Amino acid sequence: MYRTADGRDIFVIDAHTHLWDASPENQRGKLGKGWIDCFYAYHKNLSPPEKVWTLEHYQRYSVEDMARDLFVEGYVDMCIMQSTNLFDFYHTGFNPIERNAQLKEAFPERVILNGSFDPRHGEDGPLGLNALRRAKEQYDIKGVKLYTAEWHNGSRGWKLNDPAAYPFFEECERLGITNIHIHKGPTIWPLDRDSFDVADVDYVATDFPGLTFIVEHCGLPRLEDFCWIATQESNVWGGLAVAMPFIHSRPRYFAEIMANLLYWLGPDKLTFASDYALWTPGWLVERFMAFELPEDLEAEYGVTLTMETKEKILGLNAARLYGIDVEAKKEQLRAMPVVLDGAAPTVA
Amino acid sequence: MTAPALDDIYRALAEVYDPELDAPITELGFVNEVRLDGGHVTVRYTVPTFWCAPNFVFMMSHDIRTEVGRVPGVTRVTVLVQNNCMEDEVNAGVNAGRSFADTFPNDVDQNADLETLRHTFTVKGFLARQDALLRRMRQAGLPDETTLDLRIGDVHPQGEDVIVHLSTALAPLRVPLAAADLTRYLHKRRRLHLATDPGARLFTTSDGQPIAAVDLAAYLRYSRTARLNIAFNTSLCEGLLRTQFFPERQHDYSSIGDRLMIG
Repeated sequence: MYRTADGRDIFVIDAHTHLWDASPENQRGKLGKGWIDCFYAYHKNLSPPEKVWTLEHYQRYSVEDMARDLFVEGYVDMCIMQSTNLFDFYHTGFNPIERNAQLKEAFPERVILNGSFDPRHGEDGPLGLNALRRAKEQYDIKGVKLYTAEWHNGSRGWKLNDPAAYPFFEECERLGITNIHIHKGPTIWPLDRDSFDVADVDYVATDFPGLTFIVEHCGLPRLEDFCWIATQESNVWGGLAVAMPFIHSRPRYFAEIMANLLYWLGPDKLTFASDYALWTPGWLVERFMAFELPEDLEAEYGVTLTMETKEKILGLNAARLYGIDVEAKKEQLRAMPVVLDGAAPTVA
Repeated sequence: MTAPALDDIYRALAEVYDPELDAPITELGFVNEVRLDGGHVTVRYTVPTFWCAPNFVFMMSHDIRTEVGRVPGVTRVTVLVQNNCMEDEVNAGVNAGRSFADTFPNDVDQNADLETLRHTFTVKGFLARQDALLRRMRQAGLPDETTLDLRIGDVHPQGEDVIVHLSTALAPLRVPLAAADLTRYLHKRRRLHLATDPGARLFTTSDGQPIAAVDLAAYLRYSRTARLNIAFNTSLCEGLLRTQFFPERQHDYSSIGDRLMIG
């Protein structure tokens, strides 16, 4: 909860977080190392100096570290955990659902745990259809995080509109897994095309109107194409991970991106995210609450970033997606403050 | 035969673009080393992340080989990219003179080539540069109808500004700070093989069609976002490069993308 100077309580959901293990023991050669080194460059370049971690800590942090960074020092009431599997890069995966579940077990009332699937796993693979059904049964997941760039058995990526993906979306509809978070990132295949291309989102958003597609990193680095699609498809949302930290290093860039997103998508389809542990949410929430859209951009785009809009972006929009009754949740959490002094379990 | 001149090599490298960022690799700080050994030139460069798309990396290495290979006195070019997940494959393929498809026989549609992809991004760069110039015109108070009617021969750089000679009896109009934007825009027109003679229309679509004033608002909505996107990516990539390889510039957040940020 973030309390404003005039005593208003802002409910915060960090919509994109991870509990990862990229320690050297878990790395599979240069790919695992290259992955976390690249993340660390993002972290180090875009965080304020006093918020930069050591590489060792960044590679692996504990459940307790995460709880402190989010729930104690980060103003975060609830977080959504997004699986990133990367079994080709890390022996036990980067942050598969089983690892992320550790935070859910420690703080069940504060954590929304998402699963994932990969159509190349078919029925029975670790991210196949049956695993999706099991995740629903075991964790009652309401969302999945899809990573089309993931390498798998020599294949270096997939498209949302691959025919093999459709049974998975149909199963999501049947199971009530309605929030499909999508990461667009560098992949190698199809190598002759643009791997960041967001065009496949357009197809599935049209074909599955009952699902909501949240494009993480709001389509960056293909902002113009993402905005175009999100305007036409009412079930395409934008997640603010990666755009957020620009608020510190390049506030004018952040302002322009916010103005753009508010213009194209409006205030009701955007979600705040730190992408923890890429960045920590505390400073992002503080900066965002203090942030004002410059007048020239308000005039040019015809948008405003009011307190009401900030409140939607910081928590109310994500709460709507996941069916969270915010007032009831506030009440519940007030009665159970997070105390870390020996209360949190140790990491397995 | 005379050995090639270092200056000429750098001039050639300045024609090699990061296709996504629409900027020369020399401006982006990617080039680490140019070594001359008689007519044999070795160029070593670094891309900002391990995950930079290998298709774009291949294009840059290939373009370095082509551009440097044209410099008088150059007999052989070796291009070495570093900090990329596919650097070994790219280096081996480019230096052996293999095509993209031959370099990645299992990962590429063998009928595809990179030129379609390159064109997509050249168009984005065109839109971004055009948007920057159009904004300058609007900020100087030029009505859209007038701007869209301008011929290339009507505009003249003068210092940092551009002087617009309107076809009526009106006095010439000064558009502040637009000279660099004009040069960059015309450069991109040439890359797209669009007309750049004095009688040609200054502002057209990327396939050379006139833009109607009634369509301009919708047109600019997209090009404005394309401009912002390139600026964002450029500043991000420069930052990632500095953090890893130029720690003394870790907190230098200036970017050549800033030239697209016209408030």
